[in-house]
Amino acid sequence: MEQVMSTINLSAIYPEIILTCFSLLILLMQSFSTPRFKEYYGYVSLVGVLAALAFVVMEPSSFFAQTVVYSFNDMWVVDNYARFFKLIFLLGTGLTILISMKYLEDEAMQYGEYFALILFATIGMMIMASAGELITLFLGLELMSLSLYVLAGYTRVRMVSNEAALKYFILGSFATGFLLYGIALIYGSTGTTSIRAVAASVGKYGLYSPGLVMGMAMLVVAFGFKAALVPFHMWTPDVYEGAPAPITAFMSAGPKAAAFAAFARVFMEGLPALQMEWTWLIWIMAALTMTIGNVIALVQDNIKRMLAYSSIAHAGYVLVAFLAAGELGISSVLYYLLTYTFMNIGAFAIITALSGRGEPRVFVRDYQGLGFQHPFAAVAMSLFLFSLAGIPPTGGFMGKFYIFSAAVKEGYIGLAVIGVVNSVVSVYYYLRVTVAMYMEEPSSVREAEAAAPIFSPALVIAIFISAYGVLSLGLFPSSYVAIVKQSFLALQ
Amino acid sequence: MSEYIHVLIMLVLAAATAGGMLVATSLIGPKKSFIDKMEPFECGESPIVSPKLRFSVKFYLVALFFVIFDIEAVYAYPWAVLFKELGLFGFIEMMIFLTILAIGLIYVWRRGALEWDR
Amino acid sequence: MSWLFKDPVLLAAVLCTWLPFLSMAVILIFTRHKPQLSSYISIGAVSTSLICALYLLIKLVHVGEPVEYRTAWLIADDIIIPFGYLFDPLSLLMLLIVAVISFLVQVYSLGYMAGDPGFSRYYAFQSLFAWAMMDMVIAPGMLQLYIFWELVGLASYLLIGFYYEKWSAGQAGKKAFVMTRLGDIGFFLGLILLVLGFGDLGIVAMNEAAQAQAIPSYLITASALLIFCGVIGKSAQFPLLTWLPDAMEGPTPVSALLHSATMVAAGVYMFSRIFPFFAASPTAMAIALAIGTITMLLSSTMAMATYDIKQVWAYSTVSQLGFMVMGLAAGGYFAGVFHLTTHAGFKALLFLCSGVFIHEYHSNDMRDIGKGGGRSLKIPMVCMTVGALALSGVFPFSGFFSKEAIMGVLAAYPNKIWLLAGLLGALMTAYYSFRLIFMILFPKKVDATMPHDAVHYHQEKDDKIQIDHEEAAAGHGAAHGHGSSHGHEEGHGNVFWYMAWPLIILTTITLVLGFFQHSLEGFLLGHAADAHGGEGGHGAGHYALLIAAVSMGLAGIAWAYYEFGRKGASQEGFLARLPKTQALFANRWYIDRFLRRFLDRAIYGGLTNVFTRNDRRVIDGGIDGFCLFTIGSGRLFSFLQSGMLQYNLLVMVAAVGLVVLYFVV
Repeated sequence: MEQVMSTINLSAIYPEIILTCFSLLILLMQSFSTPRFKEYYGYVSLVGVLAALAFVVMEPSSFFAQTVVYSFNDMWVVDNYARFFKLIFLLGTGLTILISMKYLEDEAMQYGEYFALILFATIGMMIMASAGELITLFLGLELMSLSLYVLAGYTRVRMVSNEAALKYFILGSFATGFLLYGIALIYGSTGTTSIRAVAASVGKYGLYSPGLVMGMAMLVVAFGFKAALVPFHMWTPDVYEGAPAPITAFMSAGPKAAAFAAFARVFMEGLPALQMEWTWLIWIMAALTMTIGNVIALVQDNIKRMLAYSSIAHAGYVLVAFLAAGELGISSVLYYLLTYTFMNIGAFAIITALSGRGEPRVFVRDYQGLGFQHPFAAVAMSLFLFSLAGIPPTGGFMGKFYIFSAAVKEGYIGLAVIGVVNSVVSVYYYLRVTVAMYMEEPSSVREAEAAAPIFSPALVIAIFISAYGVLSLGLFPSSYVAIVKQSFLALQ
Repeated sequence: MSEYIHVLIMLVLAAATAGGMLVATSLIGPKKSFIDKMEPFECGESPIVSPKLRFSVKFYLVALFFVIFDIEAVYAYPWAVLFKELGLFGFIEMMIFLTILAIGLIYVWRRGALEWDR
Repeated sequence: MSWLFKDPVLLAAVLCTWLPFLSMAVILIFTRHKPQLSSYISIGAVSTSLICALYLLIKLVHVGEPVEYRTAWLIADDIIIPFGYLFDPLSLLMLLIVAVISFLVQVYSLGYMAGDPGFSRYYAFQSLFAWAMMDMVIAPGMLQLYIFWELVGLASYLLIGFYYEKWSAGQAGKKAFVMTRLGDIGFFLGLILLVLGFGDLGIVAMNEAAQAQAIPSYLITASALLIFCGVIGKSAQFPLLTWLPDAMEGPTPVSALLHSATMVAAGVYMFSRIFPFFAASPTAMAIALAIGTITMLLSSTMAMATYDIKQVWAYSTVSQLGFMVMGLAAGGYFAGVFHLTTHAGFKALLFLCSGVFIHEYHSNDMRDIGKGGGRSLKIPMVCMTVGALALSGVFPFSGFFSKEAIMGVLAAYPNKIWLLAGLLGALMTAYYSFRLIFMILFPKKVDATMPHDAVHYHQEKDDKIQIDHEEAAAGHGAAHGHGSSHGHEEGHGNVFWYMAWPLIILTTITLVLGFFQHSLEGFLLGHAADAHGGEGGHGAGHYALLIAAVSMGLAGIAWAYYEFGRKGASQEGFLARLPKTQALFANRWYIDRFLRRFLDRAIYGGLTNVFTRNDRRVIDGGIDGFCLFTIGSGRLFSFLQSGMLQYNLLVMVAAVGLVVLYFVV
């Protein structure tokens, strides 16, 4: 008995404990709600996120100390890799909360569940990043996914939102099945679910157990679904379009990063010996993901749907870096995901502000003339779009630069070429919005006046934080690269 | 191999018992067939209905709550068995678990999900 | 951010270089419609920069070693591109020059640009320029220098084409941009060559390696020549010298700041920045010397044939830049930099004075200004004369000292032909400067009755005038002073004094700067000054040279007086009697025409055809095809992407099947 207790290091899960407490607190607040409480859910959850953030950064020791803490019999790992991802998640969550508050007020849906679910999803993501063991990973993934299913259908009076939630749920549970089946197969062929033990077992007994390979294939499918990689991306456009705009922002940043976090940990730490096996599969998936995402995005008029396809394409870029592996590759994954969090949530913040009650204004034509009516919003939007397109001096450019240089360095020149061509294609549809904002007249002046964008202080703060992130990642990449490299070393 | 011989004997015995019962009833039992009896058994539901028939979603809600709180009991069993060995640590852990569950219950209650007519 | 406040030097540097950027952003985003506020923001930023530059100079004046702050800006595996600040005497001096001139020009512009509809835009671009130029000056590596070099070019383009309603201004902006870009291509190729061959673009590292002969000499020569192409473009050297006179389409203060004092000197500055690197290649130095000399002589002759007051100073700028390149290429590091410094002062002065005349008489033609009574504007007249004296190299004005220094270097050069060319240049410089002065001072017939505003000879100024008048009518009339108080300095109020004060300050600088030659020399060369023994050539043996140079200047003035100044002078000049030569000079030696023809024949005729065909058929066709293909396939895919749940599941299962198949096979 003493042994069991000695491996429990509670301090390793303080951030998760804090977030759990806050989400329970919000549920209790909602249970005993008075109308006055409505205002506070957002702030309470924000405090929770900040507290968790403080613990991630400071605890158990400083970020650069390279400490790796194992807890719960190796079921739980806290290393710099996990810390960096938790940083991304909490950042995404914080920004989402900021852009949500006014939105919910306008939609008259200020319920505590919204924020509680966001926090639950965040806890799930953090569990995925820290999971040292496949069942723990599954728990985190399920916690995240279940919360997201509900959030996607949060605006339940809207049909598209319902549709999104249901599709997401059905397809998502299908993918979860694959994950469990994969875990089971791996357990069957190695006798363990601990990622490190799997690695040891694979290294020791060789590779060609069919059960192991099948299990790995199942995991690829499951993670591919969660990260929306082609051909497991079918849910993305419908769900992103139907979900409320802040939730789309949330889903495109954190959960995607979480899927990559788990993907990379399982495959880099658990199955590196099988790298030869999955290289070509990932190669094909990366090329398909980039190309199909960008090509379909070209013809979208709905800006949320366009960004959904663009997020598929971005997952493809990340997959290129993932494939390149090595120090530069994984650093680029981290760098890009951080950048992507800033730029995508930034763009969605503007979309949220502009969409109007019930989100009628989400088409490219609704952005015509924005540059003259709302110069600030237009400048910020252009910045985020430039970054998404990968134009210097933004973080998006630096991120792509690192990804493609990693790919070239590891010899994936063909993939790098496909990636660059895709970036060029993507410029077209991002700039289309900018062109609409600056070079086209509003289709109808009255219509434009009728739906004035809503800029609450919280939303403006979120835009500023995102813009700062995008610019500083683009202008001063080296300090971020230092942190990112520390995080990579943790995975070694 | 010898240690498994008991299991084998057990298996054979069980199969024989079950098989014997089936054979015995079909041989000696009375057979009176009528229409209702020949229908597949469906937990009291009528097996053949119009697909347009709707159930109130409340049924499912209650069922869900039942499953959730049922699982609570499942967790409580192993804890109860090992209660003495786990000691205070186990007790506190379990109380935390139950507290979280209780918060869930409070939430469900206060939100009115347990009331049939709302 | 705490690192920023620990080191006051760094703080000053950051403030100095980034405040103008901030002011640009603020003006463009927030205060575009509040011209007054915009100008105050911009001037506030640049004056803070000036204070910081002064502080840096004072703080670091006695530090022998260069002070370098650098941070790895971009880390891509083994290539590390630094970003930061390098303070050595040269960069500190140049920083101060840029800050001072920028500040004065911005104050001056308060008057000159008053009431212009693009007032805020003007100040935003000014800030953009100040930011880019300062960051270029203190760049520790060539890549940073190159980035800001291009930004400076952008600012120049925007400011030349400032009156974009005017066709010629837009054309001039484009011409400047394209021609400097031509040089920049060479510059960039040189940098790439250097990265590939040497691997480090740090200025200090390059210079040290070149001095220690750690770089193969062919590499130095090749890359130095390519980099020199950048100098040719930016500093308007032969054969890319014709964009600079055209750049005078911009507002006059812009000409003063960018196209005479600072931006065009960037080429020369870059040359002196990596002077030891260049010096390691005698071939490159010899070619640079020849180019500098040709530039100086050609542009001096051009200046003799034009009547446009700004054009004269533009040609003169080109020729003085050529002179600086000569000095540097002949090995006179200090001489070149010193001439750059003094030239910045007096050439800015000359332009700003011309600006007063142009503002007052709405004409660029020196004959119009003379006839209109230009001599009655006493402060600018006196100041311009001082500037012209400095330009001609007359004691005790600053130009005298720096020209002497370069002459000394040239005299020390074994081949005396360069010295002769220098002296000839000095003669011509004095001639054309005083031709202008006398034309204004002693016009043939003062037509006092003619109102200034009626002088509308020159079509190209008309648009500008229109703007001025409309604005004057729109409420700036009082500030402008048109109407009641023509020709009287007293009546012009603030606007005049905004423009007069910078003149007076610059005149003072021109008067005293020369006497600081020795302290500057000590500062720039550090301990090396003793070893060089005063490269400026002030040894006893050079008195003959001194006298020769000064007498050349005086002879030029006398010649100009004979033809333009004395009573009854024809004011036509000797060129009028040599019409073919005049045409040659006035047409800029047909360089433009040659370039045009060359471009027409070689490029449009030959290459372009090939490329056009290639463009139309291969590239356009390819891109069109690609676009059609992508959009078409986008349609197709999005059709496939039907959103049917069953179908989605089917695809997923099929994909899973493929994945499994992949692993099994």
